[in-house]
Amino acid sequence: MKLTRKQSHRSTETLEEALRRDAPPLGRANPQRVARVCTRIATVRRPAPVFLRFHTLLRPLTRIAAGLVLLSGAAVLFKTSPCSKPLTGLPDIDPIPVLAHLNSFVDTRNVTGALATESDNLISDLTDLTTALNDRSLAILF
Amino acid sequence: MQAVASGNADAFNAIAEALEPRLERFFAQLGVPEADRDDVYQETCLRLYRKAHAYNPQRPFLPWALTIARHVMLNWHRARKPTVALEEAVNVAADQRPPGAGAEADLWQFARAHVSETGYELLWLRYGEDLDPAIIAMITHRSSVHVRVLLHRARAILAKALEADGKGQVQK
Repeated sequence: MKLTRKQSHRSTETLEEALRRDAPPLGRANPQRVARVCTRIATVRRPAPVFLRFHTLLRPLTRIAAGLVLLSGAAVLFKTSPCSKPLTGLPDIDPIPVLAHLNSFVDTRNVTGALATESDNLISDLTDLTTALNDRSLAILF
Repeated sequence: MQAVASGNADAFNAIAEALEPRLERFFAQLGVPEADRDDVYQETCLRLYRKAHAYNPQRPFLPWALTIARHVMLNWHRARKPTVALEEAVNVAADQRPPGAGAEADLWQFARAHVSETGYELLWLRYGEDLDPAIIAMITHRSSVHVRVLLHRARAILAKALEADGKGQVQK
């Protein structure tokens, strides 16, 4: 049988109460055990304060060293790089553009004739294609 | 604890004494056999002492101590697991009944037998140690919602098991 929400809530509360009630009570401290622990702690060397521990300093020290290496590397690169030297004069570049001579190699009339022929071919191809399509369409219809 | 953190080892005696019954019950409930409880307790106290500087006085002490105790206990379980034979494990489980616990502890034993290890641990922290789910979440490194969900499931499993066992009505 399924419990209603109210019944379920009530049973949960009852269970919680029972668990709290049935928890074993706290006993008394065992003096021998406590004494043993205290003796052991008295002999244990207390760890050094945080700022004196090597492993806590290791990470910042490594970071500082890495930063210094990076800075010195950048400084060396800056000093030896050719870009850092000032330009003494203008670079030796030919002021005449190379493409200026292109016209002398190409005949304008030849190019125009070839393009006209190509255009005529395309027009005739399109006409053939249109005729063929019309024929096929009519064949389907009739 | 602040005195301990500043180097006063004697100040730790009072803490060790106050914690002993609490940790004894905690370890007993969470499956540490009596023979090993002394070692686990000593290790916990040593860690508490060594970590005294990390304690934040703004926060409650018991959850912090139980977090460390739980870590020590988990380490102990992990170190022990591969060396325990199955037959021996049954004996260990039978030995886990805390000293002084009478017939009223039956419900907890029943819960141990029917609820998962995690569920039992959360039930114990919630109802045995009477800690809030938020604090349990801090101790067990879970979110508060996760703890609530796990607790709900554990309770449901326990209620179902009680019902199936004929103890459906828990004695009032």
